Amino acid sequence: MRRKLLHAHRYVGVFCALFVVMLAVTGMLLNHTEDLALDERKVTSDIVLDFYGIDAPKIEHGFSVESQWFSRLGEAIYINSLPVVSDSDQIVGAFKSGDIYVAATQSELILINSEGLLIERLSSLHGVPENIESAGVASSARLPVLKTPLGIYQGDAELFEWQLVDSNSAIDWSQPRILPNELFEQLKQKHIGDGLSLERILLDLHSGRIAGSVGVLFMDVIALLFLFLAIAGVWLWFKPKRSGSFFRG
Amino acid sequence: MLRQFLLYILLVGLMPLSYAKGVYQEPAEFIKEVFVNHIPKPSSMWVTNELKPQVNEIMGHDLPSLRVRYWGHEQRTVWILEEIGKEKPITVGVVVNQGKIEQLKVLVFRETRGYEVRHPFFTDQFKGRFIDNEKRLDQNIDGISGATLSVRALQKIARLALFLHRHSDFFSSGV
Repeated sequence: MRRKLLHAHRYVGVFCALFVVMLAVTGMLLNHTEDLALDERKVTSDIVLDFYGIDAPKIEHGFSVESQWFSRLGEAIYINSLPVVSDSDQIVGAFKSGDIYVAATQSELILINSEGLLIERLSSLHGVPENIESAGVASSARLPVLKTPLGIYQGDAELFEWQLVDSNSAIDWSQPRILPNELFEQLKQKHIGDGLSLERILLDLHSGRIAGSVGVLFMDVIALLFLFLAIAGVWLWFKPKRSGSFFRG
Repeated sequence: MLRQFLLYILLVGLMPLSYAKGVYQEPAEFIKEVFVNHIPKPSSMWVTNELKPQVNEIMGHDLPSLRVRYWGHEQRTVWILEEIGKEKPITVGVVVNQGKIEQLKVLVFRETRGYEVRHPFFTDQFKGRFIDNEKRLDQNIDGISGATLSVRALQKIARLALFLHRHSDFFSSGV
């Protein structure tokens, strides 16, 4: 019996060693959260954020009109780094109509003023053609143009009325371009919010929550093994050997 | 047998949720229905600095956009407006004729609770209602228990449509 217990104690001990180290290190760090400012240290690694389901933006393209950039990250449309709407389809182009900037998505036109404020959203309800594939401006008349599977539509300056036009007309189509690196980083930061604190990760490692509810149960098992080691260790220490008392050697 | 019974109870329990959310009428269809065959060109109204505080007073917040499109003919206007009930916007069509509500209809309901507001027994209460100088409805609208936030959202939309109508090109104060 003693030999079996000693055997089990040894193997369980080796198995648990890694977890003892991990719990000791994370525990010590968490004890000094404020001193080490763990709650203020943000983890921005794409791998870690993906693991937590905080998707880093993958689109690095946008459309520029004059010096303004229009892009879509997640479901939000941004003018430069300013969010305008939070629920939109894929952006397909941008242009300027009078003093108003227009971001065209697959299903609507989003009108924005020079201060980045939303003027209004126009959809098929307001006569805008559906299934927009790209947007631009007629080269000669400088009127807005939308490309759809049914053909090319030209609108009036107020975007009230749209009419099918000759597809051979000269049109300056809005082209996707790579976002400036600085803007992309700003958008990325906005998109993922405050990110993930180092404290959160350490807490999740310590509790096992990093692997979800299974991880928590697993750490419960590890805790039971620690109890076993403690009890078995004490028992083995005090239990006399067959040849005599431990204290007698 | 017991398993089938439990499944039946579960399905019956979920039925109200499946009925709750949905597009009851496409906004474009609503406008077509109101104007029959003659749909006027949409008009637009800027929420100016003068209107903004008054709109804020009605809604309790700024409108998400600076301009509102609507459809008008003679003294009749149609507004497609949205307001959040609890968490998601409710899309409502409002027809205002000579300063009074002619029809109010819930077109899209996205919440899981409070969908009772779409029924005519509730929306018919808005017919003939107008706003006073304090921008309050002239009569109380009876609420629905369990749908307080949706009821409140529809009241706000009704008041907003009446207020915007007063500032539209289709309102004559002499009527």
